[in-house]
Amino acid sequence: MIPDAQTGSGPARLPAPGVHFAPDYLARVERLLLRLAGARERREGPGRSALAGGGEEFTGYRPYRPGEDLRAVDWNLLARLDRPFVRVTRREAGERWAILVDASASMGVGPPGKLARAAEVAAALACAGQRIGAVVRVVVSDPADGAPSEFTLRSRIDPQALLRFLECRRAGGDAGLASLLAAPRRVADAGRVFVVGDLLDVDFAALAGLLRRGRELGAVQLLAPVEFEPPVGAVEWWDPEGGERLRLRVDRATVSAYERRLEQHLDSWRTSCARHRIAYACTGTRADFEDIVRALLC
Amino acid sequence: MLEVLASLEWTRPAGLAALILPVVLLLMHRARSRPPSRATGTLGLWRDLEGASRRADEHLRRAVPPRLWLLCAALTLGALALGGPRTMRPPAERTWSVIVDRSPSMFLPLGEGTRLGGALATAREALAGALAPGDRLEWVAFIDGERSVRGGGDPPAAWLEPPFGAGDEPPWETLDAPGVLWVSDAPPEPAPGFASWAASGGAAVPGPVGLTREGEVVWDGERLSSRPLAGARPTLAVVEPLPRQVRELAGHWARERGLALAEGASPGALLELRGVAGGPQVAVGVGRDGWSAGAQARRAPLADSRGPLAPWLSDEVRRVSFGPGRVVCALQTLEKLSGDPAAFAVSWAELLDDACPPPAGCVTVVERLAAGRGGSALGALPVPAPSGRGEHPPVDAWLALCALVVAAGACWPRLR
Repeated sequence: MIPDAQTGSGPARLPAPGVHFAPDYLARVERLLLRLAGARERREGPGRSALAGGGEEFTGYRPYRPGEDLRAVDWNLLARLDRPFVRVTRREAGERWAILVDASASMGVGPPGKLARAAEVAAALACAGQRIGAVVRVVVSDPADGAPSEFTLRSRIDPQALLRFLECRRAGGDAGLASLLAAPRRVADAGRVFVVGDLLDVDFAALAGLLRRGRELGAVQLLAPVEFEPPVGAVEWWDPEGGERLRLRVDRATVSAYERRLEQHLDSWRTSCARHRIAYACTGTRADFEDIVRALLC
Repeated sequence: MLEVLASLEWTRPAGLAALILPVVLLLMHRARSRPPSRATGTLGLWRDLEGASRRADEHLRRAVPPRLWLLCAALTLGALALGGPRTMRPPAERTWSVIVDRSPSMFLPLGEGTRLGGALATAREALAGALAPGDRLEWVAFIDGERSVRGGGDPPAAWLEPPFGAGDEPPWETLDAPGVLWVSDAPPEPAPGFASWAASGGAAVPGPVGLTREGEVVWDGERLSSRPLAGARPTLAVVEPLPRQVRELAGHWARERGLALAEGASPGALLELRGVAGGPQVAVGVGRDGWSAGAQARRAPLADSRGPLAPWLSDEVRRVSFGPGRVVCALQTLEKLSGDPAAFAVSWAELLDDACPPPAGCVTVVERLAAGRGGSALGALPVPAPSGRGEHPPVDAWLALCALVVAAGACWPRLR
């Protein structure tokens, strides 16, 4: 039994366990996708999809930008024009995406709740995939440590159904991303895989297990404000997943030490993801989902 | 401390519910000073920092300020005062008065003992179920008309012996009160209104009932008969100096009652008529019951070695006294005897009859009658007597004062 968050006894009461989408959420997603497409076109020219790249269908060339993978440079064109261009491909219709969402108890920390923000990010990514014709499977870990819940969003399915599915999810249990990553066959046919969670109960090796040739991997690490900026004073910390409690008198020095350790932890993720060309975004739940999706897809 | 608490009784026990107040106060303080509980997914990082941070628990444990302790102490004292403590009053004393019938029938045989023994055993059984802790027993008997009271668990051993003389039956009608236990041989008829009773019961006891000139009168359970006296006759001892008329009358009376007459002191005499030899002698006029006379007289004693004597004839001082088995006559001579001569004889004969105890073994027919079935009945319980130890010390007032002082100590920094 997980102790009560307020009194230290009784059943668990997570601060923000549920998911709720604002009424204008889909409108915001629409605007986000338009903005992403516009930005891409301004940068790479008309006809370019914001989500192009990494697929199999060739759609054209665009100028090379410093820092890009040199393997994408078309060497023949470079020899002829003496300017570097990269091949732009478009994902084929029927491409599969997978979005893994952590719904363990620690995702109920907030407010704003980590699971709520994760659901917004996951739904926006799914809508982006649907926009280009991909079949998007959203997999959410089960609070009761049972089989994960899944929803597949296809081109002709109303995204509202996905939102209703996600609104039925609640943070709980300790089967988070670790349980999802432990079964990579679940995403075996996915060309793009996104992992959304606090990434606190997994190590990078588990995430790296999803790496495949031709697959693009993205990771979103969400942390609650109280995890980024802990309060000063006497605090009883409790772990929603293990139920463990720890009473500490937190002073400025302790906060600084904590922040250093957290930064080390996040740095290790950042470095590892960059090394393996995994798109990575770490943010607090106060950030809008648009910023997170933009950071992931641009 | 525990003994002190155990010796207290609470007149308003509901007030003790206020003892919850200091507990509530401490719990409220603890709840308010309890650190806020916050869920986090980064507990692992905090755990690494645990050594560098002070345990909040220890801080909180020390965080109860002395003023709060004082306030709790004041509330505790106040709650105790509300409970109305006072030192326990000693249990109210109840006294059972056991009235012992020592009339001759009580010494008639019953089984291997006497009716008195059986009645006392029945009384003890009745008391065993009625005595409460702290109850007191007092034994009451009427001896020579006087009420005699003894304490203790048992009656005096002397009361179990047949009295010299007829023995007195208690005046039952004056002894019907709560907490009184009548001990007799026959169940009282009618039953007392308040008093308890215990009776031995017993069958009729045939035997001698009196003496005559010819012998002794015997009751066989149905009728009286006369038979020659088997042993020596009881004796009337006449000890000079006595008036001639009295001496002659005593001789006649003795013959009529079947007693032998002896001159001088006789240790085994049933009745002794004794004169007074010493002391000043004065001329006085005496008389009663229709006769009068002039007399030379000395002062009669108020008591002798066998106990107090009752007055029978007096002028300014006592001239003739009597008691069971003896008549002490300080008259030396009687002159100018006037009035009805028969009155003089009857008067003195009645005196001798009153003073003469029944001869050994002689019990009246009335006493020898069957006493019915024994038994006992409990009446009204004794009324508790107030302990008489004065007022209780005002413990609650002292506690309230202490609470006030302690509360003032707790609030002093703010008052100042």
